[in-house]
Amino acid sequence: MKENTARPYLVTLAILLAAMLLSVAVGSVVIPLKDIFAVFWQGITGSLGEQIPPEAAIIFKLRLPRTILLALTGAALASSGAAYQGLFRNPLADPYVIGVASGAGLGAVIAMSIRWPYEWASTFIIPVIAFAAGLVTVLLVVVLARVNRTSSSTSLVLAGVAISSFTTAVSSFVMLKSTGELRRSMVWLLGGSTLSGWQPVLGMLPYAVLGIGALLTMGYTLNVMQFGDEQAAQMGLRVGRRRLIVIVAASLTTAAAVSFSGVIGFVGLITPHIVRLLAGGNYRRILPLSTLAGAAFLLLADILARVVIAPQEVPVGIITALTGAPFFIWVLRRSRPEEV
Amino acid sequence: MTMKKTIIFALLITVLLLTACKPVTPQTYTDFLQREVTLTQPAQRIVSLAPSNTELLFAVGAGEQVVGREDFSDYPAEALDVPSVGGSMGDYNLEAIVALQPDLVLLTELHSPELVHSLEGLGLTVFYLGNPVVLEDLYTNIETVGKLTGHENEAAALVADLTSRVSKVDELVAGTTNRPVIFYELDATDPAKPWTAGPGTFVDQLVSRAGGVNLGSSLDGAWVQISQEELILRDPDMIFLGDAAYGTTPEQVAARAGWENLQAVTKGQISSFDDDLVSRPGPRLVDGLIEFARLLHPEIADQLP
Amino acid sequence: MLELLDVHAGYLNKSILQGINFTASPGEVTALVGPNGAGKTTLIRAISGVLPLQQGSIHAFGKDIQTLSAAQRARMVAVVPQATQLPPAFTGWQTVVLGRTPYVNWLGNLSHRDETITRDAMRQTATLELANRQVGQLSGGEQQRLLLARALAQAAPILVLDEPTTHLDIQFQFNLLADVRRLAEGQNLVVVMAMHDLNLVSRFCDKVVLLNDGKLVSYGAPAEVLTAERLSEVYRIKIELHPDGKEGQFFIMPTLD
Repeated sequence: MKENTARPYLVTLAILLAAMLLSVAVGSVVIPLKDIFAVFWQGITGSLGEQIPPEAAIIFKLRLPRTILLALTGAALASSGAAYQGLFRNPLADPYVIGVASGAGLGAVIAMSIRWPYEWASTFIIPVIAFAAGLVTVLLVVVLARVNRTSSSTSLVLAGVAISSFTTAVSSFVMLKSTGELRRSMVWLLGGSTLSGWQPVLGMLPYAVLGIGALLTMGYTLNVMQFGDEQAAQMGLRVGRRRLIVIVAASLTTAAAVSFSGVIGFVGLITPHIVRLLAGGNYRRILPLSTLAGAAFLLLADILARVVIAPQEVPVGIITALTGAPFFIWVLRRSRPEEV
Repeated sequence: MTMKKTIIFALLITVLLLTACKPVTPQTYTDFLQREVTLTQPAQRIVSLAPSNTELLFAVGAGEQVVGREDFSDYPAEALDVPSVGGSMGDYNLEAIVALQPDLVLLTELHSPELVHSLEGLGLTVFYLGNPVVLEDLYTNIETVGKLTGHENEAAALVADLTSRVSKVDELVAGTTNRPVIFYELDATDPAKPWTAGPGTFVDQLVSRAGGVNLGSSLDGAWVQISQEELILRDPDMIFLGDAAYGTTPEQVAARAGWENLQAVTKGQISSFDDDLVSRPGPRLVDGLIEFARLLHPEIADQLP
Repeated sequence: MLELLDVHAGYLNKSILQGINFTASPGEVTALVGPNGAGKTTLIRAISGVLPLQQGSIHAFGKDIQTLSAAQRARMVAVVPQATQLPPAFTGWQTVVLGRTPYVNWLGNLSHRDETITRDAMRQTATLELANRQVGQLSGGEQQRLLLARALAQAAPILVLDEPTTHLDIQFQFNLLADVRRLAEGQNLVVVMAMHDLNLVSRFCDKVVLLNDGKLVSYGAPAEVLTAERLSEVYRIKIELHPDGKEGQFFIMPTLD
C-alpha cells in the first residue's frame, strides 16, 4: 500500500543532470567535457584572469544561464500543466488554459512594438510588461468566471477561452500594424529564450521558485479534487479557496516562464501526461516528477534546437511542437478507454 | 655613397617609417543611440548584423576586416564567404558571435536596444548605426564606417563618387518634362490589397528624384496596402515589381483578374526591380536611383552614369 | 442526532425544499424517498453543507452545521456518493484514505492512526483486497463499497448515502444495505439514505421521509408512511401493497388497473 519508492525520482533527477551537462557542452561551438570542467575549476578558484577566453565567456555568460533558465522554464510549465490537469480533471489541460500565455503574449507584442528610449530598454522591459499583462489577464478570467456565481472549473475554462481568443486577436492585429517588429514577435510567440545572460534567470527565479514551491504542496489537494467539487467539499476541503491558490501559483509560475522564455508549447501538456501514465494517479508524486521531467524535456528539446541546423537555431517552441504529433499518436495507441 | 648622403638617406627612411606607422590613439565615436564607443584602433574583426552594414563595409574597402555577417548579407559576392551568425530564423547565434572574438559589432535601427545590452553584457563593443532618412545621411554613415575601420580615404572617395553620380542624374532629369506615375509593388500575395512604399521611404524619394511620381506617396505610413480598386482608379503609367525576387513576373501581373485594364499592363510597362537596391540603406541606393531614372526616362538612359 | 428545522433550500432564486422538518437518531437508518425531482439530492447537499440553506437550520448533535468550517462539518457528516466517474487511476487505498482529509494537514501527511482507521474502514466493508487494485478496473459494487469505506474513514457520526444501490446488481444491493444496517447499529451512526427502490426501504430502514415536490409528505416508520393511497398519490400511479409472508413486510407494486 505504500508507494514511496525513490526510484522514479532518482531516475528523473539523473536524466535532468545529464541534460544540464549536455546543455552546457553543446552548441554551435562544441566544448569538450574536460574543457568545461577546467573552466568551472578556473572559475571557482578564480584563476580565469582578466582576459576571459571565449570558451569561458560562452559557458558562463551564455550556456550556463541559458541552461538554468530553460530548466526553470520547463519545471514551471510542467508543474503548472500537471496542476491544471488535476484541477480541471482534464488530461488536455495545459498551463495556458486560462489565458496567461495569450495575455503575456499581447503584453510582449505591444512592448516589442514600442521603440523604447535606450536608457529604459534594459533586458527587463519586455518580460516585465509581459508578466504584468499575463497576470492581469488571469485576473480578468477569474472575475469573468465568477459571473455565474460559482467559479467552477468549467466556467474558468470557458472564460479562459473567451479572453484568450480576444487577446490573441488583438496581438495579431498589433503585429500586423507594426511590420518592423513582426519577425521578433513571431519568434517570441514561437517560444525561445530571446534573452541571454544571467539577468533573465535572476528575474524569473523568485517567481518560479515561489510558484513551483506552492504548487508542490498542492498534491494532496489535487488528489481530493479528482472526485469533483462536491465530494471534495463533503470531505472537508474549502474547494474555492484551494482552487484559487492553485490558479494563483500556476499563473505566477507560467507568467514568469512565458515572460522570460516566450510561449513554449507542449511541455506543460505532455510532461504531466506521461508522468501520470507511468507513475500513477497520485498527484503527490505527479507534481514533483513532472517538475523534474519538464526541466529535462525542455533542455533536451533546446539542445536539439541548437544543433539540428547549426549554426542557426530553431526556436525551441518549434521542437516541442514537433514532439506533439508523435506523442498524441502514442497516447492514442496506448490508452485504455477508461484511462484517458 | 658619401657619409652625408647616407645620413640623409637614413633620416629619410626614418621619417618615412615614422609617418607610415601613425601613432595609434584611442578614438571615441558617438552612435545613433548617443552611446560613446571607444576603439583603441580601427576595428579589425567586425561582425555585421545587417545586409546594409555589410555592403557599407565592403564598399569602403574593409571587406577583409569582416569576420562575421548575418544570413541576409549577400552583397557583394565576397560577403558570402564570410561565416554567418544566423538571423534568418529568429535570433542571432550569440555563441557564434562570441566565438569569432570580434572587436566591433555593427548594428542598425533594425535591432532593438535590448540586443545592444545583451551584446555588451557579453563584453562586446557595439556600434549602432542609424537609418538614413535622406541620401545625405547615407554619406554620413559611409564616412562613419570609414573612420571605424580605418578607411577614411576610401570612404571619402566613395562619397565623392556617389554625389557626382547623383548630381549627374539630377541634371539629366531636370531636362525631362514628363513625370510618369508609378506603382512600386512590394508584395501582392493578396492581389486585391498589394503592399507598396509610402511617403518618406527611399523608394518614394528616389522615384521623385528620378523624375517620377510614386503612387504610394499619397497613402499613410511607410509600408502600406492599397486596394485594387484604388489602384485601378489611379491607373499608374508604370508598375515596378519590387517582389520580382520572389518570383513575380510581368506575365503573372497581366493575368491578375481586374488588372488587365490598367494602362501599365496594356502598354507593357511592367518592369522587374531589384528591391535590395532601395530597401538596404547602403551605397547601392544610388544604383537604385539610376535604375529608376532609366526606367522612367528611357530617352536619357545612355547618358546615365 | 440530526435535526432539520424548517429547512428551505434551492439554487439561485428557486426554492426546491420547502419547510422540511425531521429528526434522525443514532443507530437508526432513515430513508429519503420520493419521485425524481422531489428534492432527495438537494436535501443530501443541504445536510452535507455544500448547499447553503435559504431558511431554517440543520443541527448535527446540537451544532448548527452552517456555523462550522468545511473540515468541522466533514468530521460530523460523511457522504457516500453514487459510484460514477471515479478517477480510474487511483488505487483502492488511495481512494479510501482520502476520507481522512478533515484530519490531515495541507500536505496530506498521514499519521499512524490515520492509516489504522483507513484499514479498519476497509476491513469493515470487505475492501482490503482492493487496496492495490485500480478503481477503473473494479465493478460497480466494488466501487460503491470503496466509497462506503471512504465515508467510514471519515469517522463521522452521521452517514449520508445517495442512492447507493442504483448501479448495483441485486446481490450487491442486499449486501450493501445489510452492511449499512450493521454499521448503523454497531457504531451507533445516524444513517440517512436516499433510496429509489421502495421495497428495499421497507426491509432495511427504521424510518422513512417521503418527499414530493420539495415538501415533506410524511415521516415515520415504513409501515406508517408507505401506504397504498399515499404512494399512489405521490407517484401518480395506482400502487398496491401485497404481503410477502414475513411479518409486517409488503411488496410494493404499481399496477395498471
